[in-house]
Order: sequence, then C-alpha cells, then structure tokens
Amino acid sequence: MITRPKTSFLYQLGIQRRVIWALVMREMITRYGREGIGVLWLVGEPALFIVGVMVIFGSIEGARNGISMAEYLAVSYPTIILWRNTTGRVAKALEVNAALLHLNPVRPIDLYYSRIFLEFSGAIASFLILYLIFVAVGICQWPADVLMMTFGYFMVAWFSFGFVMIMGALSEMSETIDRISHIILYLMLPFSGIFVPAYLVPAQYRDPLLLTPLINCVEMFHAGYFGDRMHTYYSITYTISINLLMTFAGLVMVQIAIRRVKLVK
Amino acid sequence: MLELVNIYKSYPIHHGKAERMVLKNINLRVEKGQRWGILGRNGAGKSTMIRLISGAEFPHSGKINRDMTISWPLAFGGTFQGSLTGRDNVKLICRIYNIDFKECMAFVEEFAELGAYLREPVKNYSSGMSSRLAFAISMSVEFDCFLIDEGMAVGDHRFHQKCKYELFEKRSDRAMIIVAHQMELIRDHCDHAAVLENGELTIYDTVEDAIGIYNAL
Repeated sequence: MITRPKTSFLYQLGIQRRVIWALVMREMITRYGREGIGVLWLVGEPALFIVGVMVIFGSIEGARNGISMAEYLAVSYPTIILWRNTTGRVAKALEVNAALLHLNPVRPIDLYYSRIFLEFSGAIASFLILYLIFVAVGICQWPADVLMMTFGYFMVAWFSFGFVMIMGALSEMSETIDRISHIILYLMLPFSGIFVPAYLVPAQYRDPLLLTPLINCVEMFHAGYFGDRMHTYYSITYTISINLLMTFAGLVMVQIAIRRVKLVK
Repeated sequence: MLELVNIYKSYPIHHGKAERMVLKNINLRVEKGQRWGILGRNGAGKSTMIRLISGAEFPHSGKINRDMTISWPLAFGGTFQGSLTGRDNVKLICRIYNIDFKECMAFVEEFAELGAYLREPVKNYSSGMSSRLAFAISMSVEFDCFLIDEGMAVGDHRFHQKCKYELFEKRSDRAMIIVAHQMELIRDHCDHAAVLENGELTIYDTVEDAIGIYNAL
C-alpha cells in the first residue's frame, strides 16, 4: 500500500533514500549481472586500474626522500577514480533513464545521486582494500595523521561531486561537451595533483597551479599520509570555498538540465 | 485531487534555435473517482500532457498539484531494464513504492501468467509479454489515479478482458485519465471529457459533446 503523499521534510527524505537505494540495486545488477564475480567488479575494476598503473610506473627508479614511486602512486592514483570514473557514469544519465521518471517517486536528481553513490562506494572500497594490502606487503606505511588523510580524501570526494554534477549537466545540455568530456578528463591530469607533488613544481608555477582546487585536495590527502616526509601546499579555506561554489553551480546546472529533458517515447 | 494550473510546455526545435509551444494554458482539475477522457488527434499534445501529469517531464510554466498517487501510463513497459529479469523489475517497483515484494510477486505471477519467463531477462519477452508484465505490476501498486495512454494494447483478447475487469470493475472507485483515439473506450468508461487541439484543452459538459466535437475536427 502506498501512503498518502506527505509534505514533511523527513517523510520526503525517506522516500528519496528508498528510491536512491532501489536505483543503486538496479544499476548494480544491470551492470554486473549475477554471473562470475558479479558485484565484486564494483571494487575490482578500480582496483585493477590502480594496480596496473603502479606496476607500469612503479618500476621507475625515482625514490625521493625515501618515498618510492610505487608508494607515491598508491596514495595518489586512487583519487582519480572518484572524479574520472564517476564523470563517465553520469554522462547522459537523464537521457538514458528518462523512462524511469514516469515512476512518480523517482526524481531526476536521484538518477545522479544513485550513480555517484555507486561509483564512490567502489572507489572508496577499492582504495581501502588496496591500501591495507600495500601496508601489509610494505609498499605503504600507516598514515602520519589519519584524521588529516580522511579529511583530504573527503575533500577530493567533495570536489568530485561538484565536478561530476557540472559535467553531468553539461553532457545533457550539449552534445559537444558530451563528446569532448573524455578530452577534458585527460587534459585535467596535469592539474589533478597525482603525478607531480606541488613541492617539486618550480616556485613561480606553483602558486598559479594551486588555484586548482583539486590539487589542494590531493595535497591535503598527501599531508595526512606523508606527514613530515613530504612538504605539502594547500589552503583549506580556499578549497572549501571553491568546492562550495562548484557544488552550488552543479546543483543549479543539473536543475536546468532536468527542465530540458525530453523523453524519447 | 490533481490540478493543472496554467500549464505551458514547449520543446526546442531546429536544434534549439527555436521553440514550439506544445501545450498552451492548460487547466484541468481531476477529483477523486472522476474518469476523464482526453481526445485529440495525432500530435495534439496528448502524450506530452500525460508525461507532465506522471511527472516524467516538467512544464515550461504553470503548476501541477497532486495529492493523489498517480500511476505511470498503463502498460508502459519503458521502465523495464531489458537485461534484468521480470522478477528483478518487480523488485525495483516494490522498492520504489515501498510495497511488499512477496505479495506483489504472487499477484504478478498469477495475473500476468508468464510462468518461468519471470526469471528471464525482459529483453527475451515478446511485446505482448512485456505489456502483460507492465500491466500486472501497475495493478499491484494501489494508485488513486490511473493514467492510460492510447488504448491498452495488452496481449491477446482474453488478457485484454481480464485487464478491463481488473481496472474498470475492481477499481471503479479510482480516478482515471484516458488519452485515446478509440471512442468506445472513452464512451464506455469516462464521465468527463475534454478535447485537446493545437495545444489547447477545451472541457465539454458531457462526454458525447466532446466526442461530437472531436469527430468534427
């Protein structure tokens, strides 16, 4: 039985939570099926990515201040999964799933939230599992400051959320953006803070580079993990302001995109 | 009650360089238990109106007030994920509408008569089979208002009769909005009617009046 539509915020939140969960379960079974390792791919796919990159680049002899390339990548590359893979998943999410909107409790934004939730869960789980393994085999150490590292990871996730919402909305509004989105993602790599830590960048380039919020987020994450072993550069207030701004812009743009959805049928 | 107040809806045409107004100043009020028939020729905007009412799309301006639960357009199979089994699709609906899965599944098994197919991906279904599934699922959620788009082309004759009974007899206390070309459907089942032409909705006093006007279009 359906209960009457109620207007209280908590009641509505209950519906939304239920809907998002339903969409997450649906997406999981659709994407991974019930055969083979199935849902484990959610963790396995990003994990393979990280391990692959570490195998290729980790062999480069470039230990600085006792930090090997493998160790550096182990706590850098996982951040990319959050913003890059998720962007791919939300592209055209509205258009593809427009028919689901006939189900009245399903609101368009839930399509975004469910995909982001699923992708983030996979990214976080694969990072945590790999990290524990890396500590066990001696590639990584325990973090210098767990709280700071968690905060940094949270900041990367927050940045990714805003970024993904903006890209998702744009992919809906413009075919051109949808087509070049993988180019944008690729060109973002130098500004992602993963390949080169800020302290290695010549001073005159460092300040302009630090205007990118993502580098600040990754530097915070690094600060938590490496502690005194690496010099890090970031501004918490600046990054929070930009993240707030991006989240706001993302939400507004998604609303605009939603107004423009046209069902095929 | 379901209320459409001054609804306008436009779609971009010519690659977004211009807009076409599909619905102009639509006003409609559907009370509990009322059965509305909306008549209109192809392209008059009937399906757009249904999409706005179901909530799948949003009006350009105006307001839609719903305090009834509203179904998706009946026998609409588009919400189905082809790679999922019939059973998984039932599960999705149950999760979204917060209804008991076991009960719902028992009803769907009995009503849709799809047997072992329920455990197969929907993409292996014939179109008749998937509309059976869609109809059975819509009957297992107790909506206050049913949307019916373009005559319910559901399965064979016997199943069609079964659907009519389930919808019009057993649920005769519910509101309904039927959008169709088929006069009989609207004549037999509606107590209110309106004609949609060139994006404008005109409400007539009796169903016969509306049918008369529509036939003269």
